[in-house]
Order: sequence, then C-alpha cells, then structure tokens
Amino acid sequence: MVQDVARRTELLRGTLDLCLLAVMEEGPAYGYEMTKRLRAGGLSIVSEGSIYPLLGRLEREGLVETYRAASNGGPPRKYYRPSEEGRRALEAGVSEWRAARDAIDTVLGNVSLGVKP
Amino acid sequence: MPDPAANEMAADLEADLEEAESEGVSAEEVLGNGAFDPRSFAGSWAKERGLVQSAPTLPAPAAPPPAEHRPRQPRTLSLVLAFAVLAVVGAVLLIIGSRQALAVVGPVMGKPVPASPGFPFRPPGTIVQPGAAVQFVGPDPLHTAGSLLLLIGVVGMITMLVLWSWRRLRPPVAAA
Repeated sequence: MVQDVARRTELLRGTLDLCLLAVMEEGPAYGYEMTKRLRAGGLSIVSEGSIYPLLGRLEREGLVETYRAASNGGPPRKYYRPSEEGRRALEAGVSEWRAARDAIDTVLGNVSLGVKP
Repeated sequence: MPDPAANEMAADLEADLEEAESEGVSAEEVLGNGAFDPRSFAGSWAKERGLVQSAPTLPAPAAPPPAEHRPRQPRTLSLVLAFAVLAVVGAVLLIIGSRQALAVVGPVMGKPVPASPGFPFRPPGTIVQPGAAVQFVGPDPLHTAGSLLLLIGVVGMITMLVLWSWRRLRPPVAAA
C-alpha cells in the first residue's frame, strides 16, 4: 500500500506542472481551488504542500499569470491562469506525455495480469 | 524573505485553510506532509518562487570522518601489543630451545668438541669446566620457532611504531 502511494507520487512528480496548467486552463483558480479540481479528477494524493511550491516555480518561469480578486464571500485570493508561454508549454508537455504514455502502454500492454476474481 | 512576499504567502495559505475548514476538510488533508513540516513547506515554496536561494533544512547529523582520517591509535596500539606478545613468546621459546640445543655433558659419550672460545652458539656466561666436553645436538625446533617469532614481533613492533609516529606528524589532509 505504501509502495503503491510512493509509485503514484513518483509518476505524478514529472507531470504535476502540466496538471496544474491544465486545471488553470479550465478557468483561473487559486491554490485550494486547484487542489479540489485535481482531486475531482482523481488525483487525490495531491496536496497544497506539493502545488504551492510548483505554482511558485511556474510563476517565476513566467508560465502563469496571477491577479488578486475577491472570492465568494471570502478574502481576496490570488488567482492563477496560464500565460501564453504557459499554454505553449502545456501543449508541448501534453504531446510528450501522450507519446510516453503510449510507449509505456505498448510495453505494459503485453503483461497479462493473473488477477483472480 | 521580503515581508510583502511572506505576508502574501501567509494570507493565501490562511484563506485556503479557512475555506477548507468551512468545507470540513482538515489542514492535514489540504497541506499533506507540509502540515507536519511547515518549515520545509515554507522553505520549498519560497525557493520555487525565487525568493530565497535554498530551502532551509535542519542541520544534518555530523557524518563520521572518512576512514583514512579516523583516529587509528587504538588499532595501532593493539597491533603493537600483539607484536610485543609475539616477541616475548619468541624470546621464551628461543631461550628454551637454546638450552636444549647446547648440552654440556660430563664424560664424553660421542665425539667431543673442544670448549674453545670460538665455539659457535655458546651463550655468554656459559662456563665449561675444563675437561668437560660440549656436544652440539643439532638445531631444536623450539629454537627455530622462537627466533622466527622474536624476529616477527620485533620487526612488527618497530614498523607499527614508525607508522604511528608518521601518522601523528603528518599534516591533516584538507577535505575536498
């Protein structure tokens, strides 16, 4: 079980920035909102402890733009959205991911799982 | 870290945690491992934003010195002692072997060897009575083994002492 989580974490590590850019592409979001979107998509192991440092890096590299706006009844929040460069990085990253995923699927597709009902 | 940036990060986090709490989500669920190590969490966040050069980390426990720099006195001392014991055992065997190898006999039983000053293997202080004959009965295995052990012990002790002195006088090697 612990090993499963560790593997999932490792698999996610190289693609979390793409995932963040993708959920921002759905619409500008602040940190916690992005966490909720990722979890709704099935990435339940992602926490703000992971995404805030990554958002900081995306901001530093100019891949996201930020602005402050009032949230629903709460204090002003820092919203993130992909910059033009971020969108290009997202497209390139998604292409790379799909190519890698297809290659890995080809290799792992030959494995027959002996799972008994 | 600049205060405005720190305040902004703290405000973002506080707002997120408040929203999560209102939805019944705990801080641990929101922050993951960051909830248990806030220093590391804040450090990596600030580092990724380019606000600090490196994330603060707890000081690592001091690594043991490299093998070649570790003090070797205890091992050297043990070896010197071992060689000393070897030398003492060798000396004892040599003495016993010498006594057996040199026999002073009264009436001449075999071919007598005159007790002249040039007689080989004559231990110092050995008094040979006039008229008595000394017979060499051949090398004793104890004598040979004793000589060998004494030689090894003495040479070993000297070598270890020289090495020990050299290590003590050698200037320390600077770490890379």
